Amino acid sequence: MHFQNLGFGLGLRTTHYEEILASRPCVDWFEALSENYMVRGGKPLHYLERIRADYPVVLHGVSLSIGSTDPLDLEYLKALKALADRIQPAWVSDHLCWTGVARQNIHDLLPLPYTPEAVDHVASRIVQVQEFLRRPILIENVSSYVNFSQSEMTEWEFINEVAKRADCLLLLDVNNVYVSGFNHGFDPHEFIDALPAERIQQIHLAGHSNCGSHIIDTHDAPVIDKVWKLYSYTIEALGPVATMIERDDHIPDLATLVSELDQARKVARNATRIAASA
Amino acid sequence: MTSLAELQARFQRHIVHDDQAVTSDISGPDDAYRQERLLIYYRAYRLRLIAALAVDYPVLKAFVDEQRFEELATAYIEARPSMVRNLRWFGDSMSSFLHYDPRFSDEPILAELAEFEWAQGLAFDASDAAQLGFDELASVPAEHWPQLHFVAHPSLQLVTLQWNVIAIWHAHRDNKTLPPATLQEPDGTIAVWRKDYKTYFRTLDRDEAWLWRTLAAGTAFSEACSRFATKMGMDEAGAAQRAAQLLHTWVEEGWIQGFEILSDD
Repeated sequence: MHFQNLGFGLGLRTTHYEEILASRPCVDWFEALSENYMVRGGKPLHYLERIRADYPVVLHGVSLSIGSTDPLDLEYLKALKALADRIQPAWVSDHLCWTGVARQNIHDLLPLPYTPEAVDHVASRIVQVQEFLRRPILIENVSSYVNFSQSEMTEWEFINEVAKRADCLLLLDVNNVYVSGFNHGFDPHEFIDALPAERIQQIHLAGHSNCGSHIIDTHDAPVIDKVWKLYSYTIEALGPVATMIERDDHIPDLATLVSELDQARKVARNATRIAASA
Repeated sequence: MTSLAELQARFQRHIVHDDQAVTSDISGPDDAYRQERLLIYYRAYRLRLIAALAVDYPVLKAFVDEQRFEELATAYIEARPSMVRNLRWFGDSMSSFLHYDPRFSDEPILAELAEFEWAQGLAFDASDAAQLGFDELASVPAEHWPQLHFVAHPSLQLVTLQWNVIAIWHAHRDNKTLPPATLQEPDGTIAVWRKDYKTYFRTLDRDEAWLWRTLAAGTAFSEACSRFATKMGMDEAGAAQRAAQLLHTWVEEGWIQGFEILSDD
């Protein structure tokens, strides 16, 4: 099952609430961080509902911890379902990672070993979550800084297997592919080529911090040229896919992000043209 | 335990306790490389949680300065590891931590600053609820007033402060030099609440604090007024007048969600 292509979106950030409502920027949709709105009331939900009245919204979580060996957190799932029932998002996504065990939360997107055991574990949990939420979910590839010696397959083989077994959709973070490619020495194009195109519902773009020997996925800077090129390559391969720009730190004014989003539109348009003429 | 569970436990022990056992699970040319990569997760864990605490406690951070705040936050992270899904709630026990931990308990203002800032956060995203209006209150028939119980708005928080937390908060807001900690005589009760999606606070008069707490504990209005008169050494009429004046203020400020008329039997 595929959802409609929403076009070009931005991450919804508190500093932009008023301006979004006042200026109705040329943004096709917004991605709201689920946990920011899993609160009892007040300003966050008030603004989300007002913005939702004018724009499609998708929910993007960081705490599902789909890869953890702890039991699924039913209270979290109930709160997520209640938020989804309230906001009626176009779709719901989270990450292919784990965030803690023994009930502790590290609040980070921790990497998994690419093993048949992890495939079984993660796929069965995605199935449970999709049944609970009564909707397919999108699972996003994360940036990683280590590979486990236990891994028996590549990250893209792992994603393919999980997605096939769970019958879920994918959120392809092109920046994360670039970051992990740099950190682990693989060709990001090989990653993109190997993914099941029919399952990719959304793309993330973001900036990062290059520390020389490795890159950290910081979401605090504009998208770099090499990631734009990789995005272009991705759209050439996949065709148009809903795309959004994530900025979580050093958040600039809305106009700057809208202009970066226009860049995404331009790159995607050119890539589609190249693909059509090929 | 499965091998995945064991691996995750080792990885987490590295992040939380700097346990190096997981190093041999990481691919790489040598231990220096593996440890460098693991360090990214170790550091990110602390940086992310310190940043979250800085968002919750900006005035506390300014009061103790950047370096001491980092020490304080790191001590909190070690003492109270996050068991919550939502980072929003991680800083929940900062005030009690600062109150009881011997490294900070000799500066009681720190716990009070944290308590006051956390109360503001609680008011900010407390449940939405109606705020009682004057028309609604006026519609209560006179014979029902003795059984009238008020229900506080869910955003309303009361904090008792012995130190000059409010003066420090104002100085921080106005970008002025923060005053040193000073004990206040007598201590003050502060109400923090939300109205029209904006958070407010103010200091209560002593009689006001007493009456509000009595009503919020579930005492019917007329009973509270009667006890109020005794407590404050006023006559019944004077107490009723003062109570009516306070009720007017509370309704205006949006402290009251509604009321219930409960029969005595």
